Amino acid sequence: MSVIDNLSAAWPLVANLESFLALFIGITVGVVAGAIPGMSATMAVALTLPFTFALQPITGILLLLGVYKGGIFGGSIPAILIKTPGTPASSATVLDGYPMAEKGQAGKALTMALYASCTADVMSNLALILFAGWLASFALSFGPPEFFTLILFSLTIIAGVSGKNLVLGLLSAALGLLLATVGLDLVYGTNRFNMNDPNLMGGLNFIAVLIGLFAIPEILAYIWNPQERKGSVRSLGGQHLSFKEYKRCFKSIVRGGFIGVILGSIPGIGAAPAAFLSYSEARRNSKNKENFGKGELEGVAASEAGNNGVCGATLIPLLALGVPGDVITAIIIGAFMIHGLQPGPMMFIANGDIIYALFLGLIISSILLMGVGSVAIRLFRYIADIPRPVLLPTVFVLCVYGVYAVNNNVFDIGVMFAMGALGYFMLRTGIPAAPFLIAFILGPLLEDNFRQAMLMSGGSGTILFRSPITWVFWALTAITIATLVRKGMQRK
Amino acid sequence: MMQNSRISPLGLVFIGFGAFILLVAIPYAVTSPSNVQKIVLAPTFWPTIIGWIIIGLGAILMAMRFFVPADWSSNDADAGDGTPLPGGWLRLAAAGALMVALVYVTPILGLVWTAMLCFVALSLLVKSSRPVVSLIVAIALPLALYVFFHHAAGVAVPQGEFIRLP
Repeated sequence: MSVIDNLSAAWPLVANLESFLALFIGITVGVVAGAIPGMSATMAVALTLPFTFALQPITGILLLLGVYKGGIFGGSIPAILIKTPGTPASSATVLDGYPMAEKGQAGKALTMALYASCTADVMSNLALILFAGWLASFALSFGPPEFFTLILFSLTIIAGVSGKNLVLGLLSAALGLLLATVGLDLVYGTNRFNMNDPNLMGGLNFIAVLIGLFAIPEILAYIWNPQERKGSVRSLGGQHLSFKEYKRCFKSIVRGGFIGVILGSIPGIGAAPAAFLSYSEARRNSKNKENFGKGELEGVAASEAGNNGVCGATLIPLLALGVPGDVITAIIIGAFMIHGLQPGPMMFIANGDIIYALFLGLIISSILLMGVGSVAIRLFRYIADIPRPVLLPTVFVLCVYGVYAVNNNVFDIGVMFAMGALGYFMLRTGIPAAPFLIAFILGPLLEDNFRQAMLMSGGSGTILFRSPITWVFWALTAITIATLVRKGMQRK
Repeated sequence: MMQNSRISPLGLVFIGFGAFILLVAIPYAVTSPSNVQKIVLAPTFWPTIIGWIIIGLGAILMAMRFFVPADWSSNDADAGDGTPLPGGWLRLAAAGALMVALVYVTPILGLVWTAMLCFVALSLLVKSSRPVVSLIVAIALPLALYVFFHHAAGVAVPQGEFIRLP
């Protein structure tokens, strides 16, 4: 089927009230969650996931994508108004956004953040539509050895989410790989760490692990130190963004969008580096470079374009190869699986209509983001005022209901609390949680493809080097590791 | 921020954990059929590799104490804002007890009532400055979620042995 055929088959799936409502609610939830300091886009996507069970797959996934996009933009609101990035991706926005707010230009900065986000978002979506299908058709020729090497390379994305200490990130990933082995053996069906408990035979529940790692530790951290946020919310000010100002920043927005698309399509880099690179490039090329850091509108535009340019592009490896580009897309891959869909090249053949419906939904979401974002900017004062002693018990109850709803099983709630305790230990000791989750998702795929390859070759490892594709992925993995080691040596 | 002095014991913890995986957990909790021809296909192969990786990384973590500057060898451990209030461990222990209680009490009281009680208990634990708002949300939220999950999503929310909801 051609792209046009696919798009016409997909249109009825999106052109209905449920899908529009899902996108609208998703974006609203995302913007609100991103705007609340202490919440994050990741936590919002994780908590929304259980609410998608009752929905059609396309509606549920559109809801999650709405939360993702809304969350990334929402993070810029507290970054500008209270100098507290709602998400790590908004850290670069603080540099010029908050100085603008101090000058009474918060409204202008926020409007620019919104326009830059939406423009870069459209660019990112177009890149997804153009490249995902092409990459998927190429990946159709992959067998287990190729997928094994691809997933091994993808595990190097852990380097991107490990923080300053790669070893702690790798340890976190090793724990994730270990917990992914709980259940029944993939080939022989024998017990592995399941203590003969029927609740563990299918492995640990993904949602329980996810929510346990990302939401419960935040609650425990607040219980450890229940203090309200300090600092005041800046007013929006009377100045509004003019078309002339948007036009002046357009070049930086487009450049930032491209940077976001390129970095987003590479697994593991994420939105924060894209925002900082976009910001530094804008500064380097700007006529007003001396104003950067003191409240330059172009700085806000560039950083927001950089982080939102990533959103659609991270879905390229997810949809085309079945490999998550970052933590949030790792959660979304779980949502696909829960709805009986397996992202990857075969999905373009078996569920092409759903893929293209997602593309259409993403384009619509850029328009909705503009509307929801404009309202959220004005309502931020009320969002920021939600007291944490009310918010965090609310999150706790949402976690409990959400995790229970997956399998109608109280045991899963226990798993979530156990993972929460582990997550809090990791938080206290500086071990990042993101590598754990990525390894937990990729672990079974890695092992499955490895063992399939071994079955094909009768146990000979040479099959893992059988084609130029495997060589390319081995080379990329080696280059990534060598770069990381070199970087480490230079820092030393 | 976690200093190198804390990195080193953490490395030791992971070495110990890896050894536990290899020496205790795999032999006792992973069943491998006797007719496995190739070791790479055995159910124990993957967990063994991971066990060794954990030991290796634990050793590297310990070695980092001597070779790597403190600011690089640690990640920021963000466990809360500012100077912590006293009684943190006590509150954490109470939260842990609350979580364990939730798992055991839910089949008896039902999820809705247990969630309400947990909300109130958590609000007391963090000394909510807005008790009335907390109480309203504590009642309304579990009920709203019950309506959504039970009636809209078709989830069999546990009702408990005492008060059953429609």
